[in-house]
Amino acid sequence: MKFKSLLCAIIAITASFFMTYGHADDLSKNILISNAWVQAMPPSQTTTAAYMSITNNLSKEVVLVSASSDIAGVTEIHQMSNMNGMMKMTMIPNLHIPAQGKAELSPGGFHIMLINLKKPVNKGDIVPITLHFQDGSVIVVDAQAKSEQEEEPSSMPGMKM
Amino acid sequence: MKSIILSIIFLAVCIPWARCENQDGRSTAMDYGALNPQRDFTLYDQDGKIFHLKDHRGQVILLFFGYTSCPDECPTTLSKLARVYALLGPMRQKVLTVFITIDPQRDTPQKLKEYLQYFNINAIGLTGTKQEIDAVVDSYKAMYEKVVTHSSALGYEFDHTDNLYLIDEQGKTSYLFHLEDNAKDMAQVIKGF
Repeated sequence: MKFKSLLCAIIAITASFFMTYGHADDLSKNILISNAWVQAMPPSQTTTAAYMSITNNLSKEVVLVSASSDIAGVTEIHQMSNMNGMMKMTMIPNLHIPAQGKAELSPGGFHIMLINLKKPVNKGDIVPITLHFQDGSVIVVDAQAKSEQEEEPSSMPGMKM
Repeated sequence: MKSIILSIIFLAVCIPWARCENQDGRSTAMDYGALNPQRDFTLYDQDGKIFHLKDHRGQVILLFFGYTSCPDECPTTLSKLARVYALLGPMRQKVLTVFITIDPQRDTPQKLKEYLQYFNINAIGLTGTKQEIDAVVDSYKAMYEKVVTHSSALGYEFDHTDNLYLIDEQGKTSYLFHLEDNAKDMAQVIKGF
């Protein structure tokens, strides 16, 4: 009897492992994360924001329910909105990515907040961020720390030496 | 003939007004003269020295209100200003960015200094008591609101206006930039002063 229940448990655990694995695989093939970056910050800062594009190639909506990162004590999903010139930031419980659609996380809009940073986020650092979806699957993304200023070529005369 | 003249007058008056409305309907038609009409204020800089706006005649000032633990729009604005400075050419020598903290509780002068140095632009951080800062905020008709975030680990943050004020060499507020303005357009406007 004991052996039977143990066997059942093993089968159940193994099955759930394959199911989860199957899901993650399904999602990672169909959810495309691009342009993931983190705002590099001065060393004294204890918060920063991560941005990315999440493209959903599935025929059903997916829901990002949380994110986590080894470098942050707390990770939250936030939304900035501009109400007649007043910038408001609110924490949101989840982010819906429509079927065959896209969610843009960018300055002034949605972002993933990395709070209580355990170490400074310097330019060039790679910050792994784990995205947790409603169906239990996860996607790990490597976001590069940079300053937005690097996106346009510098026209500083000093750079032409 | 009379109606043609009237039409021309009508168009001449209305077209500039129509231009004052952004795509999102936000009105930029503001009486700049009503913003800090004294053209002066007094606060303390990141080195603890007294700062009077009137001591900076002859410089073009880019002034905005923010706080260093602001994770999104403040670093975005400062990074954008770094690009603006690069586009300004030799003029950047006389352009001073003034960052006034609305969070004097957390933003010590040392923290302001370190924060602004990081963005590598000609910037100065100002602080004072809450009353002193509020007086400057009011004089520029800016707004902010402290929001205690019970659900979020942030503790508290601020909702605030995203105005970036261009103050000309005479201390007069002459233009307002917003978060959505791009570096190239901003540099173009600043070059006109």
